[in-house]
Amino acid sequence: MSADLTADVAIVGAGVAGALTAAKLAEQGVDTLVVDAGPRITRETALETYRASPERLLPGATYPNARHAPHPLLREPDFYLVQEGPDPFAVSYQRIVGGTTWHWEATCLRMTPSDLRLKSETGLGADWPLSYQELAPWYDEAERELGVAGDGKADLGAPRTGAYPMPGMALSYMDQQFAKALAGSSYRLVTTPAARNSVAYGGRVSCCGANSCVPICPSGAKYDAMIHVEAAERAGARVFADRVVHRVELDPERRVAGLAFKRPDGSEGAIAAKLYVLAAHAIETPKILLMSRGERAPKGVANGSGLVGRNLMDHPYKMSWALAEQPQWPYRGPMTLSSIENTRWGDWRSERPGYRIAIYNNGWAIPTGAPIATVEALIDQGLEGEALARAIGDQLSRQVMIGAMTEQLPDPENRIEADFERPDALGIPRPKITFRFDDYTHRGMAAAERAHEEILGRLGTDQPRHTPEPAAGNHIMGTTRMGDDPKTSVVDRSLRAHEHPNLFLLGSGAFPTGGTANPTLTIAALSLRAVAPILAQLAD
Amino acid sequence: MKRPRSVGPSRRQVALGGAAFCALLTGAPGAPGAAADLARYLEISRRLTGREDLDSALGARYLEALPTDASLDSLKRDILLQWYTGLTPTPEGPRVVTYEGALLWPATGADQPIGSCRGVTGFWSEPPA
Repeated sequence: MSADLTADVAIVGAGVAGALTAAKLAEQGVDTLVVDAGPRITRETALETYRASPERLLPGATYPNARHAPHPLLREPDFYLVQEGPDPFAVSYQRIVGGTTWHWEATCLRMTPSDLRLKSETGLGADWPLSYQELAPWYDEAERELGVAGDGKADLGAPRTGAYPMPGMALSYMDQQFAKALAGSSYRLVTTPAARNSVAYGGRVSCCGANSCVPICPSGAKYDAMIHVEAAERAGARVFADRVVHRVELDPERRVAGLAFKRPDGSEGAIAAKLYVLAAHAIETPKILLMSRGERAPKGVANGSGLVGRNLMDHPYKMSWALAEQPQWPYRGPMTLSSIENTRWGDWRSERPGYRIAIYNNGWAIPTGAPIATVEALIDQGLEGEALARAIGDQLSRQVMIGAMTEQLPDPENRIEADFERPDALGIPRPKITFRFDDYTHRGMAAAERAHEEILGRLGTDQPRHTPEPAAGNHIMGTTRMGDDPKTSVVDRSLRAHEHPNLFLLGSGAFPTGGTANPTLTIAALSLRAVAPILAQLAD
Repeated sequence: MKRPRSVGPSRRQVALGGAAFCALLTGAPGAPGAAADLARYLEISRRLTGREDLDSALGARYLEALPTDASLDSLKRDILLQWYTGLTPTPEGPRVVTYEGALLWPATGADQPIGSCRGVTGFWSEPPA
C-alpha cells in the first residue's frame, strides 16, 4: 500500500485522549500524526455560530455538522445514529478537531476505589483490572495537564495527596444558600473539582463567568483538547482535519498494517505507521473496528472476544427543577460549581446505583431552554409592560435545577454496531444503537428523585418538576472493554488490543463499568498511562 | 435549509396599514413610508414593553424581520419576543436578529449576555448590586 500519510505513530481522533497522547509522544521526539474525521474550527468562529444560532443552548448548534462527519443531535435522536431501541440513546458528541471537550462541563472527578471494584463489592457489573492506587499517580498528572481547580480538603471518596493545581473556584451565591440549607442533613455540599481556571494557569486566563461552559467557553479559561492539539503541533506532531478513517488493515501476522480514510469529496487515502492509536470515542472507535471485518478478522479487528461495541453505557440522568422562595441569582458564574458526592458510595449499591448530584448555576436552561423559554412563557400568559419586566426578573432570579448522574451497569446487549444497510453521505456505515435501561437504572432514578425532593425542600422551593424518563448524561463508555483476559475484554490494562500488539484503543470505551465520575479525567489518566507502553512497543 | 420567509417592503406596507396594527395603535396617522412604519413600530414597542429607551436602529431590524400575516395577538407576542430575546419567530423556527441587544440579559444578573464574559472571577459569589 502506498500511503498518503506516514509517521511512526498514527492517532485517529483529536479529542482529549488522542491530543494528549500525541503531545506526550511528540514531546518525546516520536514522529506522530493525528487525523480527525471532522473539520478544524476556531473559538472565534464557534462563538459567532453560537451567537447567531436560535438554538444556541443546544450543544450541537454551535459546531459544524459536516456532511462527511455528521454528529448526533439531541433534538433528533435518529439523525446519524440508528436507534434500534427499545430505549433512546439520545446523546451528543462532536466530530471536530478538539472533540467533545469543546462543549464539556469540565467536571474533573476521579473514580472512587469502590467504583473500580463494583463486582467484588456488589456482585454486579465488573471489576477494573487496575486498582485505585495504580491509577492515582496518573490522575495527579491528568489534573496538572488539564488544569484542575478544586478544594483539596473536600472528601470526594477518592483519596488524593497534595493540593489541586489551582484553588477551588469561589462558590456562587446560590451554592452558598444550598450549603446553608443542607447543613445538618445527610448531604454534604462540596466544591466540584473542574478543569476551569480559578486563577491564570497554563497561559490561559481565569474564568469570567459567561455561564456557557456548554456549549462554549468564550475565554478559554475552561480546558479543551485544542490545548493539547496545539502542544502536540509545537512539539512537531502533524494534525490533519477532515480525514474519515473507515478501515484498519491487518497484515498476515495480524499486526495493523495501515488505515484507510476518505476525504470530504469521497476520495480515498491511506495512512502507514509503525503503531496505531484509535481515540475516536466510544461510538466511532468500535464502529471502525467492526467495519474492518475481513478474512483476517471475521468479526472485526480486535474482536476475538466478540465484545467490541458491547456494554455500551451512559450515566442516566435525573433533572429536577423548581422556583426557590428567595432569589438565588442563577445564570452567573460557571454552569456548575458545587455538588453532592457522598451519595456515590454506600452499602445499598447492590440494589441501586451510586450517583452524584450537581447544583446547576444556569437556572432552568438545560431542562426547559430558559431564559428564552421563560420569557416566552410569561409573554404567553398575557403579561406586558412593567408587569412583564418584573415577572421576568423575578422568575429568572429564583430558578434552581439540580441533576443526578447515575451509574449504569454494563450489559452486553446494549451495543453499537456498524449499520452497513444505512450508510452516511460518504457511504460509511452509521452507528446502530441497541439500548435499554434496566431496573437498576430505574431504581436509581427513583432514589435520585427522592433525594432531589429533600434537597430542594430544604432550600425552600415550590413543587419540583422532574424529568420523567432517564435523560442522557452524554457520557459514552464501555464499548472496547479493558481487562486482563482476552476472552472477556478487548484491550489490556495498557489499552493495547489483546490481539494486535501495535494497536492501542484509547478513551472511555475501555471502562469496564461507568462508575460515578464524569469520564474525562479518567480518559486522560488512562491515556497518560498508555504513553510508556506505546513508547516501549515502538522500541520493540 | 429553507430560508425564513422574507418580508419585502410592499408586504410590510400592507401589514402596517392593516387592521392589526391600527388596532394596536389607535388614532395613529396612517402616513405611508418606511420612516412612518418604523415610528409606528417603535411606538407600539414602547407601549408593549413599558420602556422609553428602545434602540431605534435595532427596532428597524426587528421591523424588517417581523412576520406580516399575523393576527393581533401574535403580533403583540412577536414584538415582545423580539425585544426581550432578540429572536424573531418565523414559520421555520426562530431567527436571530441580535444576540447582545436582547433586553433579557440584565434580568439574568449581569449586563453582558450569557456566553460573553460577565465579570471578574468570583463575581458570582455575591448577589447582583
